[in-house]
Amino acid sequence: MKKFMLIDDDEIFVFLTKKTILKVSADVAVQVFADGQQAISHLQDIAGNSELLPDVIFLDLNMPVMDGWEFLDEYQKLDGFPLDGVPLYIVSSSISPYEMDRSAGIPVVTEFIIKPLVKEKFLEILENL
Amino acid sequence: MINQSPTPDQANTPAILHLLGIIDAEPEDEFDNIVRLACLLTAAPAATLTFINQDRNLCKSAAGIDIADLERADQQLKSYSSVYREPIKFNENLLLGHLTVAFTQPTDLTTGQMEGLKLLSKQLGYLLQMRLPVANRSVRDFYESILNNIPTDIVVFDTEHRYLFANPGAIKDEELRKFIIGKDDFEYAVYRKRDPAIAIERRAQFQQVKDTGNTISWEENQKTADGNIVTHLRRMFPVNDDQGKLVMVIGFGIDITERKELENKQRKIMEQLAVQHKQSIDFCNVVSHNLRGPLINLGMLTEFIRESEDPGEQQLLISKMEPVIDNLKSTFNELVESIQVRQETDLKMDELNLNACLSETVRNLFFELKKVDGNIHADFSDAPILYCPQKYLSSIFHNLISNAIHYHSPERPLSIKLLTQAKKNKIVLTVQDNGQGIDLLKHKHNIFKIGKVFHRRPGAKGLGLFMTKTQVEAIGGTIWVDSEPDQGARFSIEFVNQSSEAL
Repeated sequence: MKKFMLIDDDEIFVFLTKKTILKVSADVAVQVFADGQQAISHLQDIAGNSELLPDVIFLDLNMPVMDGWEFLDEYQKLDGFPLDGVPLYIVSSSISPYEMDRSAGIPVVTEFIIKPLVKEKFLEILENL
Repeated sequence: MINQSPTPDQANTPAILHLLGIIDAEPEDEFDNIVRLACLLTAAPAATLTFINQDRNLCKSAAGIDIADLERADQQLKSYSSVYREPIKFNENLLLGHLTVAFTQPTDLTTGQMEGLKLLSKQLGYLLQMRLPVANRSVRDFYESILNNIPTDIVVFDTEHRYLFANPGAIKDEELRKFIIGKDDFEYAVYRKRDPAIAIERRAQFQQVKDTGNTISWEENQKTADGNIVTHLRRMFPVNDDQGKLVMVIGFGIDITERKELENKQRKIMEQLAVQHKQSIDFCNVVSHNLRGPLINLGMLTEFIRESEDPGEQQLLISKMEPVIDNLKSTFNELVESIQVRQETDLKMDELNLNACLSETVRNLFFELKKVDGNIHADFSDAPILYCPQKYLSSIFHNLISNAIHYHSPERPLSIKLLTQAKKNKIVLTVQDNGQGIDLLKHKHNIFKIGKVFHRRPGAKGLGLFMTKTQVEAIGGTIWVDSEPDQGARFSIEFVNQSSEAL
């Protein structure tokens, strides 16, 4: 069972994305966090338990309380985490070149995916795990 | 006997006579004296000084000839039996005229007298040469007149910082200008009963130039009598002799007020452009997040509906479309509105009664306020009237009070306090609540940005404060916020041009 972490405040997008994932593979568990702060807290909570660490992280940029960029700042500050190999995908509706350039400069970001997340992309990500 | 005859062969002689101020001038002592000296030297009864002017000789000065009309004095000499003429040369080659002595009896001059006469005519040449730079002015006057008429401030100091020269640009008053020569700034300050601070500063600058041998320059602002600011660019630089020894220090100032004003204008435009550039990036972001997001959801929903064969599931998916469309609609409307605000250049100001305007907002938000048990207290006694477009004030009240309602603290009943303070031509409106507040340490750069929300609240899109800021800035005002988490927030808006002239 693969664990996907989905950090996004858009309930409808989350609902539809979960549906898409389940269509592709039944062997995936999706954990949803509505903002960066909640996701960081969760990662800190499971720090000692490597079995609970996610296999993939999907991160939205535009969120209340702690947005995607702020999450990335905090994420990189997390100490002693075996998160180095965890692929992190920014999944954003943004088509702004500025945001794409900015994400290209952050080493922990695997790829910038423009919404929607389609079935084919999921399959590709799953195969690469 | 005539030693030398007049030969007016120089075509430009009259021009030079004009330039030297000889023609049509009053009799002058310096010429009369030389003619009298010629008489004394040779014991001649008569002498003349003549200049060659076109075809005739012009007599400038005569001695021993009893005639009122100088023009005919030269003619008179023809009746004398001995006449001696010495040529007067300008620049040692141009013949300008003659110094003549005449005797009634045949007379021979001694060698000494001949030589004396030659020397006198030579002196005359020098005298004329000194007149050349500008008619009737000495060389010193000539250069001073240039320095005095250049539209800059010029002062010259000796090596001890005493004034050698100041032009009217530097010191306007002629009396002061004369006073200052040979004195320093400290004496000037005492004389004019001024604060010696400037003298101390100038002395330090002078010392720096003297010690380092380098030019220094600085800009200086002064307030004129009519309250305008005038900016001067000042320079102080050393002047050395051939051996590199300091001879004097020149101070130089030029009015750069116009250039300064242009620079300021340019800086303001650059700042404005930077703000606009940032706004357009923000705008691009909000379009991609807040508009593109819902559109993608609609696209995905449609695809699922098409693929689904279960009518129950189809109904569920359709019901999820409605909030997405509503969200899209309201975001779109707010975006259009914010563009309109920024494009409105000819804003009409209204004279608004703050209490009346607030009452209307409160009426519109009555149920929302009731839900959170909110109460509003307004004190507009210090400034009851505001000049602002009506729709802006309504929107500002609506946004700030809606915000206070949305982000109220569940732990206490909501209380909103509104206050105005009049400050000269400005009015500051504050709206203070006791709600959740905003963590400004984290969000101070983002608070008025488009598309920013700070709380977990369904439907929060972060357009209200951006809209408010856009409107406030469109009428030249400013908005800021003081807040701490769980301590409530206080928004302040400064409105400018608060007089009936604004209408």
